[in-house]
Amino acid sequence: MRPGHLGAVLLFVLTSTSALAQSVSGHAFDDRNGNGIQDPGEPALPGVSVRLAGKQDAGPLVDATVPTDAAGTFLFAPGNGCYVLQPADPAGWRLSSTRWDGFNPASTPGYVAPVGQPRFAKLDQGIGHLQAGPYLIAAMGDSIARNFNFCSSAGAFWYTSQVQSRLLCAFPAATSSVDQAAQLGETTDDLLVDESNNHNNVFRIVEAQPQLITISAIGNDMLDVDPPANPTQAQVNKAVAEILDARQNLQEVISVLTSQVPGADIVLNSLYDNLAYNCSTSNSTDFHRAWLPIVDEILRDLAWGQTRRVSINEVAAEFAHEDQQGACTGFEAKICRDIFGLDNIHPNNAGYTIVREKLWESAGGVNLGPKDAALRTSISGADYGYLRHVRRLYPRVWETRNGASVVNPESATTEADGGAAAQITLGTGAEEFRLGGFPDWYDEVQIVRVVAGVRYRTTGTVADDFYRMEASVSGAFRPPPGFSYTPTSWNFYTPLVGGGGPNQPAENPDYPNAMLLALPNVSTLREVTATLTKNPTLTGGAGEYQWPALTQSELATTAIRVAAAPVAATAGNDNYQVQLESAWLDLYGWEKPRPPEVSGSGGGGGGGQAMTVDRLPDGSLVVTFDAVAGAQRYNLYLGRISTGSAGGYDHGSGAPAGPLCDAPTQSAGPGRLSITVPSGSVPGLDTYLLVTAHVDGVESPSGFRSDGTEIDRSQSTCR
Amino acid sequence: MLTLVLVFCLAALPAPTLQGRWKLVEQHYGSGGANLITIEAPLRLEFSVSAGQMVGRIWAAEDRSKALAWPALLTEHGTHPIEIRQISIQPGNNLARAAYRVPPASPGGDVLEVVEEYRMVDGGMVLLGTVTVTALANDFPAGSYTLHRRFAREP
Repeated sequence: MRPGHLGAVLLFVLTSTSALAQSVSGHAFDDRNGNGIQDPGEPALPGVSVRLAGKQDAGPLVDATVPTDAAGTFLFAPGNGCYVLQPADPAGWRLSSTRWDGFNPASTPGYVAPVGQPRFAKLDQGIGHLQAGPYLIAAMGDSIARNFNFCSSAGAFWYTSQVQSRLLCAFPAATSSVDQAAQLGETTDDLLVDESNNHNNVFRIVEAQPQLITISAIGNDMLDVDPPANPTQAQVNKAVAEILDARQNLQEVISVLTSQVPGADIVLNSLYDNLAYNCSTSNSTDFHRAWLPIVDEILRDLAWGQTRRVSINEVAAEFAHEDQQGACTGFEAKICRDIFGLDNIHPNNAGYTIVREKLWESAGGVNLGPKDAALRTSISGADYGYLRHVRRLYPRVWETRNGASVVNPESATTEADGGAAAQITLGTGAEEFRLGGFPDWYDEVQIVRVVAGVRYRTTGTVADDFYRMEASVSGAFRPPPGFSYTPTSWNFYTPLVGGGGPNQPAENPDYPNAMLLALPNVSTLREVTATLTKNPTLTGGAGEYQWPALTQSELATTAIRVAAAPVAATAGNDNYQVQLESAWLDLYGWEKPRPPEVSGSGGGGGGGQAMTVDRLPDGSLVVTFDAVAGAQRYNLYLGRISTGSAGGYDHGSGAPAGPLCDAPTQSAGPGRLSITVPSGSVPGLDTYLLVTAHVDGVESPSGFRSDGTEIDRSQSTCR
Repeated sequence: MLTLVLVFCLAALPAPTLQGRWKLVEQHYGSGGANLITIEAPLRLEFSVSAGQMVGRIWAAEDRSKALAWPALLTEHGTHPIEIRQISIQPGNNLARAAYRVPPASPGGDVLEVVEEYRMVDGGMVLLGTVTVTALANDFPAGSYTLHRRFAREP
């Protein structure tokens, strides 16, 4: 080898190493449990378009887009600089969540200040706005948003300004300002109070139309109702009522911002709480320990279920991890220790760097080299999990209660009627229009999350006799009188529109004369959605909850209602109608493959022979059909034609006889099985027979019409 | 006769005053019920007469030698400068009030306006009060919060 060749080889190696060292990489994956982490067995998502834009240090602007490869991997090697990642959601998929592991130090990586575990999200419109021009950041909320503490705070709105600076580093041609809206001590109620002396409410933010809205709230809601040690059940109930009120407030706030500020990306802080994860008993409380994880899950669900996904700035997990790794000292090194007791709640500057880094990651921000907080020249783990939208379900039944009236109610059960709407008249009492009967027979669907949605407008004028919309998994909507809330029994409904407001809860209102609804009069169709939720389970230690997905049967009991929400002691009855164009449930998760139809139409082990029926001398029937690979059991349905409403087929409630579920089968030759129907069970002449198979818990379709559409899977009662 | 003696004795006792040592036993945020005091380093407030004038001193934990003139702000980084606007200790009606400003540590930071107000109740055994912290941004209020405090007299 000549010397010149050696030099060329060395140069190539150094260049490659340098490029890899200045890289940003991550994975896109099918997040089948929705936890934001690619767990074993969760498939990669190839072909997801990932964009990275920004600026190299002392170099050119960068704007590159790559698809994820077969392993779901993307890699950029842009050199040191400031950048923003922005994966594009594949059609029919939604970003699952920011990973929020960190509460169990035994199973999560260690926290290394200031960055900790990568917890990436994205701003869906950020790059476009920053490339186009002015970029207004509205920082709403409380003292955490103000970057407040008593320990030499780095300055008001410091971490927001730091993220702003990083965005301007990535997009130096942009101009940006921060609307310093947040107010010390304010609660979620304050975000719904229409006042002009500050911008910390949705009304002023809608006027301002910012491009980025950050919200840090709910901490003061909790502190204001903080029960004493060894609380009575009444004190716990009062506190939980306030938490649920805060959930309603934030649903109203965020849904108004998503619909009325369409150009804004929204980021919601999760709630750290040094009174929850401090294992020292001196100033941690059982109530915080028990309820903070619930509050944070409420915030995640609120963010996830909107019509446009809202990012979560996942600070709670990082603070909790920091605490528990540090021998449970209440984030000793991250909280302002004001010796004379005026603070001891807010992060100190080191703590606010956590908030800064998590906010930066939630915006998809990555800095490489000197501008990175940890001087990293390579960042991996920018992972993006996705959940697939698998079904939209519509209600099938409706009813009015307590004197409500409705015209054209069926219109609310479909979107296939040209935009027709149910016209609902409520009143000043407890009137309501209720929808239910959501189909529950899609047993191949593995539900991870469910989003309830409504599309509506109003006619007439809503002045003070308001309405609210909400969903309930049980259909109960509210607990019975005298109910005792516990951490595993508190969640009776999911707010969609209104219902909270600054004058709630009724027994402890902060603003008794304020409005219930931010948008009472809606002249054009408005869509509002929310994650449908239920109670957690608690099998581990205090605060270690599991959040099981909704079951199929819970879909069947779910109801959505439009209910009167009058303000007491106001005169008259507002002359308005709610025009409900549609209500629905969107299922997110994944689908098991459906087993083939047991009809002999093809695909079975018998080579595609038809199902046959033979009558034996004793009058019994022998039904022979192709075996289905992997089937755990077979069912035989007896149906009657022309007695049901669904296409004239009925093997459900109107069937001539009940089905033979898990029917005994016998071999009927290679690839063939048979089921015998005893003579006493043989139905009359106008009967049809259906055989279905179960593979991995999924029942094959019960029958098809000649056009290939299913007859009615709701009649398959052997599931 | 017995009644007259009792009345005489009561009249002879000096009326309780703010003077003495007080230990913080309860602190609540807003309308919350949780007691947020730090047990490991209890806050103490002491009022005494110095040069004919009632003054206050404040310290945490048990080391009185580190007491500072009240009001004061002490963080883990040390004494934090404050601008005292008013100190009013009224032995006659058992009220103590201090108003002070905490200048921002960084340019552009919030000025904090703090008002501590205490009054003696329960026959001189308890000092009840509030601490109101208000943020000022460019001299305009930017929100506030209130701590409710209860001190117990120490022997």
